[in-house]
Amino acid sequence: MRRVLFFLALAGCSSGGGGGGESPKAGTETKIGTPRPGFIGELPKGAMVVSDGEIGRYGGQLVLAQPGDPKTLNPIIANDVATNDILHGPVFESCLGFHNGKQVEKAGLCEKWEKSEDGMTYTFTLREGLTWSDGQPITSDDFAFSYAVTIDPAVQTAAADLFRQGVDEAGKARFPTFEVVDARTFRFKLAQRDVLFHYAVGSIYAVPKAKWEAAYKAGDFGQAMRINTPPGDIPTSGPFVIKEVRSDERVVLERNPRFWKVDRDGNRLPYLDRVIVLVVPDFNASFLKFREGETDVLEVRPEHYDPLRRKESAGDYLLSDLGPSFNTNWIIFNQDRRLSSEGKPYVDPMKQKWFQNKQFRKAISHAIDREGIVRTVMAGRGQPLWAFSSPANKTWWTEDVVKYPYDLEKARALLTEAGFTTKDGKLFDAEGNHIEFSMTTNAENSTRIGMLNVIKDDLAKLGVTAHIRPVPFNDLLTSLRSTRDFDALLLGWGAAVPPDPTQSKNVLLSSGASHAWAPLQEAPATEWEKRMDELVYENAGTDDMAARLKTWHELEKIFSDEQPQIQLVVQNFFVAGRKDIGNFSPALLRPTTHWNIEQLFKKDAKAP
Amino acid sequence: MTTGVLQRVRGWLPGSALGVFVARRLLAVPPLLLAVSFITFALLEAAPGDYVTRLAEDPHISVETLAQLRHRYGLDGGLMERYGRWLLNAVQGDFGYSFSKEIGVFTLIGERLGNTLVLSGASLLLAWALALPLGVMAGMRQGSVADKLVSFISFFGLSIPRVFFALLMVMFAATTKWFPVGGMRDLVAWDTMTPWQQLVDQLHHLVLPTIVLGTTQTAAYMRQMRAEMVETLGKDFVRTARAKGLSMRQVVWKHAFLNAVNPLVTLFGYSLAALLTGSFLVEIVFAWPGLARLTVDAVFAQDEPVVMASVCMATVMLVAGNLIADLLLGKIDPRIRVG
Repeated sequence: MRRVLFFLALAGCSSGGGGGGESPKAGTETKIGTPRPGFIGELPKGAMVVSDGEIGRYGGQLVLAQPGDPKTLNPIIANDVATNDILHGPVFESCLGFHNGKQVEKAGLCEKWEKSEDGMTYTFTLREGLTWSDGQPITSDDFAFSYAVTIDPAVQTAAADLFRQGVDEAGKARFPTFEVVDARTFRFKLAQRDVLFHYAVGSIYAVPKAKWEAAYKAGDFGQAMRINTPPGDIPTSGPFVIKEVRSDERVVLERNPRFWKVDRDGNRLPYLDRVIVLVVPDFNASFLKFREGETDVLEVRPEHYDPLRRKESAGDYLLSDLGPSFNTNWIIFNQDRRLSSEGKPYVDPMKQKWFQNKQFRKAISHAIDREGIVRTVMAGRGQPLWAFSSPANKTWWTEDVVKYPYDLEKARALLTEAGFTTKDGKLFDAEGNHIEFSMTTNAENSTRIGMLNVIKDDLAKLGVTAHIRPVPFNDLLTSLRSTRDFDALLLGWGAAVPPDPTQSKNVLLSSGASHAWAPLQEAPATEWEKRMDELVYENAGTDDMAARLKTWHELEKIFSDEQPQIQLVVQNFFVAGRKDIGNFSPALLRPTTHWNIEQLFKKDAKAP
Repeated sequence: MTTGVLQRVRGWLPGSALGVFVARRLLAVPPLLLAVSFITFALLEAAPGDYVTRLAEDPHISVETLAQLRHRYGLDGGLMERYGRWLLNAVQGDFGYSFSKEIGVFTLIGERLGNTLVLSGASLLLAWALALPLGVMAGMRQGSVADKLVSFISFFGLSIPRVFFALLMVMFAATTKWFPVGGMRDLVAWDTMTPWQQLVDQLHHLVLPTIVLGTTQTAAYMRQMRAEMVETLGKDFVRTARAKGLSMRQVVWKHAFLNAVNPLVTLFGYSLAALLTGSFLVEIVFAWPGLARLTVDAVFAQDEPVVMASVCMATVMLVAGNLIADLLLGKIDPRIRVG
């Protein structure tokens, strides 16, 4: 029997695949330690100098935990957070980077880019001497290939939406054309101006053409670079290569020996030898793993803040408050004027009348005690939100919007003005209907349910009967995107990188699919929505920052005055990290803890 | 191996009867699979949204992209149309690719199968290794302290909910730090270990989930074994054996045990079916990277091909387990005739 048990255990060893015990080959000794594995070949001529941060030490490993497995190792089709956090940045770099801390653009694989006078031609120049991790040169052809794949409808990438420029006469989606100028230079010709086009190009995480073209031609691009592809077979452009993927257990990254960045002393990056990403689906478990010292960094959930704070002085970690996060929370009333496929209105016409009434929405907004939500649901770690953008947004947030402090008198006055009456503590409209509606959110999210509880009690004080309707997350999204069978709905938006207003086009434009209160309008239904549409286009139509700020601030004013989407609160974001991580500078944009992973180092990495 | 069994079985069974028996059982499989797969498919369909729905949380993703993705994954069309498509491919042996990982479903399942088998195999071994000797001992010494202890353990094992027991064990591991809290190996230190240390590390991780899973099984087998033993020891042939001067040891192991163990063989067959799915809850609680997490994740993500394949596989295992149980029984107990 023992023999059988032994055999079974061994079967378990081998089933995970990969993962040898041999230590990587060491590089040459340097003043700041010995990199294992060492670097290969000469530094590329056009190497990028990273001038900020401390000079680190070679060696050591960083251990992270994330809730999900990567779904693919293909950076072009990746479309979920767990996969992007590993692939975009640590494993593949793009043409342009983004400094998540300062929220500004920074250089990437390209040393420069130029825009023509008319804004219709963009020219990018790659750094000299760049190679993939397998030693093959990185060329314009690789970008031509990767761009073609990105916009190919057969491949289905989320990034394709960033390049789509309306439709041509035949009704087919129009995309900018790509032209290879020489091995290091390539050019895009646009069909229409797009101030954020360089960011769209920055979202192409190129892969080597020579390696993957055959798979693409065979129609198998989706299946190229899967999580069970031998990791040694995937050339990368980022600071790390993939060493091992053990599904539902961990991902191991190892230094890319041909990486193209150096610190200001000329030491080749990255400093870290390895990165281990543990897959820990449960947030409590990842908190425990951090507390026990198994992982090095943690995105702290609100419920874990206090236990970490109490032990901080005794622990070997620092807890940092990054202030309000990018994730906004809001509630909308369904103002959809369309008819469902059965020819019935999506919203009861009686309710529709209330929801389309600006005074009604403003009154509701005044009746919501946002401070109360922060106090009770977020344990005081958050703040009321009035504008469309979160205060986390350094460039675009503005104070100058219409605010709705908790004020029941004002709310009642607004309602009376709009013809509503109160009888026996209950609110009625002019036709004598009692104001009663449901508020939907997803059942899995206790914070959102908590917010609705506060709002329900607040609205009761106005004489409004509001029911909480928790549904599964998928149901919520189906309601929002297609069936539209809700009265009010509470949800939140996150932020894209860069957090620019044009990224919110789909929400702000009346024709947008995420214009949640009344999506996909053929023509704007109201004057203010028409004006907002104009402002969105004006904002995206110029790269003069002063002009863009002006249009954006006007839009924020209209948005806050009309209250189509009642902004509620933003929660503060907390990150914990071990004290021995050098250059640790967590940011609010993903990947929050390791966006500068090539610069991170372990202060106690072994001395040479 | 199957043919070997069949030949031996044939030795004391009319060959045609067995053939008919097996054929009849096998013929029942396709309709069963059809029904099970259709119900699963319909339930998945009835669940809100589909695999693509959750992408809509990102406000940037366009309607066109969502529609194209639905088309690509074959999520457009009605229930019957989609089930028909699935069935047509499945009949040809093509169960498709996981939506999320773009990997063939059986490759994906195969990767996890080993891990699940390690856990369920270990617990099965533990259960049998404990249950048989303890059950026999308890049956021989009815009413003794040992017997009462065995009964107590049986009742404990049968009555404690597995999830609760698993959570207790996790708490035990977290407080005492004697055992790892979850997982199958130490993922941080793994590469610095020698193969021997890796084996020890895995066994260390295996202890608690095996105990949780094994206890319930042990309890069931032990009770059964004890009852059978008590019954058999009271039979005439045992008295005859004693009377003709055999030692108690010979009587127990050669005569009584072989007769008493029969019903347990049936149980063994059923436990084969449980090898794949019996450890689901325990795998989830102990973060064991087996089939359970794969399937549960697939259900939540509505990764249809993975769910369908694992349900079909579990069904086949159940049928196969029952069939094997019946065949084994026929081999061990000459009184049983099939057909």
